[in-house]
Amino acid sequence: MSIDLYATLKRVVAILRDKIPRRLSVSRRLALSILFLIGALFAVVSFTSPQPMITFTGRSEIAETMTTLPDSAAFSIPYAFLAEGNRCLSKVHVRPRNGTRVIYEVLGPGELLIVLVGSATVQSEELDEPLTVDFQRFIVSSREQSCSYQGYVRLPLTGLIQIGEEPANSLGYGDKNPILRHGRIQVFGRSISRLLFFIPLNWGPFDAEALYLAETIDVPAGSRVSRALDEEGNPVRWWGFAEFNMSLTSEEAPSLFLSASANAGAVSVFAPAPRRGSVLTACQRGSGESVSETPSSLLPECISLDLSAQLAGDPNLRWIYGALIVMVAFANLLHLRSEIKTDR
Amino acid sequence: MLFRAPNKLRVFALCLSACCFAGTSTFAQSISGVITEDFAEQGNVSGTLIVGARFGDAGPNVDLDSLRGFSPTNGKRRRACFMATTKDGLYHAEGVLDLPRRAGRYPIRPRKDWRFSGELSEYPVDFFAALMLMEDNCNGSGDALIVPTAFSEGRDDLTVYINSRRALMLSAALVVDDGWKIVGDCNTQRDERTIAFDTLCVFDLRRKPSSETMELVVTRTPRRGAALEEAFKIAYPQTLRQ
Repeated sequence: MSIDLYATLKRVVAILRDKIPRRLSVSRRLALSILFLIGALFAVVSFTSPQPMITFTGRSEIAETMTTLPDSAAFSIPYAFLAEGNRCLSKVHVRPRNGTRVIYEVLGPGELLIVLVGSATVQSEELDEPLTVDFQRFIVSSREQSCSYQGYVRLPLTGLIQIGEEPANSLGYGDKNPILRHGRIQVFGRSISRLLFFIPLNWGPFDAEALYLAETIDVPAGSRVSRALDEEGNPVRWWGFAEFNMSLTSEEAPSLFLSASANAGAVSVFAPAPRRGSVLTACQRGSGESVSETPSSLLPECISLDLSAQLAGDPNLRWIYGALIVMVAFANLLHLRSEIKTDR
Repeated sequence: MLFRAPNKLRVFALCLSACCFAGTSTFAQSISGVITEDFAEQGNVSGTLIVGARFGDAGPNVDLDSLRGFSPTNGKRRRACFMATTKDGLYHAEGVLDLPRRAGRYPIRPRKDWRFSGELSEYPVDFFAALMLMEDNCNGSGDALIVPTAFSEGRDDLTVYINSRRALMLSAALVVDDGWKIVGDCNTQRDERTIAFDTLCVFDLRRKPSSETMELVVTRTPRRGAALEEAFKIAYPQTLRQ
């Protein structure tokens, strides 16, 4: 290994000697060398970027999923009312089908509404055989004596999800507008796995596609977290869960605890304040031409892994920076030494 | 004086008067009034269910100079309330318009020029809702006759802009000619910021209604409670039947 390193070092010294004019000072030569190497790294990262990951953690009064994988979207609840007919069901098992929207909304302390818009299969102790529904509303409550549940309800948050709502009028006058109370989006990168397309980075200090935290962004209350997209602009599936404490005394402002992650490069966020700008973001690039003509105030904010965070945060790149800096400094020292000898 | 004047002067005077009258009639050939406009930092939430209605298709983007309204029927000069908003709720306009006595399609002209035509020219037409309501006091009464606007001469479809107010499901139908029903093709699009409205329903009007008013029935399923059905009256102006 050390022999290879020495040979590489000699080659770098030779290149630098040939390419950099002799009349340049040592410090300028060093700066040029570093700039050249950073440019090369920039190109390397641009061409070999492994898929990043985005996570969301927060509290919201409303969350919505569109089912893309029925098995991962299925859930069970110990007790629930059917909103139509006020019928109490126990040991309820729900399996939504592909494309079915599932909405979780906190109605108040100890009251959770679950809505299925689309086809789903419902099973319970009270039903003789599984029931196929096209639209169903369940209320899980700790208030009703005959059908109450006081523990935690944990529900899947998988598929294509939306968290929060824009401030809009409610349907009924007594209803409040459910909002996202607070949220945090973390963008994780994955370290590069190859250097210059063919040198695998899974030896020594290097670790291929290792997860590292690149950015953390707090989402303002009242936002709507929307689509997660891959590098080509296609919607990406989220994986996570929603949890609600049915206890009446647990919180002053009850809300769902949400946690989900997606192997996505960007996520759209409609912040309460509209965006002002005219440049297409990573969230719109893959969505077709028409979006480029849409005023930015209509479009969401885009949270994505940017190149600077990747260049600064990738652990493999940090090792390469260190090695390169040592190599360049060593090469310049050697050159300086030879110049001093020549002067003497 | 005119009779004693030389022929050339007489001809000039006649031409001048003709031009003046023509100018006056052109000015009268519009729906005009004081329109208050605002382009706010924060979106306004529309309190009404039907936010806009438009006959025919339109160019890709909003061109306020080609915005037309209708004086639905012949009669004495009347007033209508004008409302317009963008999907993100940032642009809002309202005002009282005077309608010409003669039924027809007229440009909508504010007393002063449109203030935000530049900003609005960036909006695709489907993100801009406008309508007129046939009422005097402009208090948003649900009973008032809705008069759609238009950007083109087209008359084969009607697009209705609806603020579904977070309904789980929404459907809309036009009931015309004593029971003949046209079901709207409704699409709720949430890829953009949806403050003022979120749903567009398109009705195929190739078979022209014979009556001057149609009934728009909107059925919404809320998060809680039973489905709600609301009915509105929409004008089908005489001009469109010709």
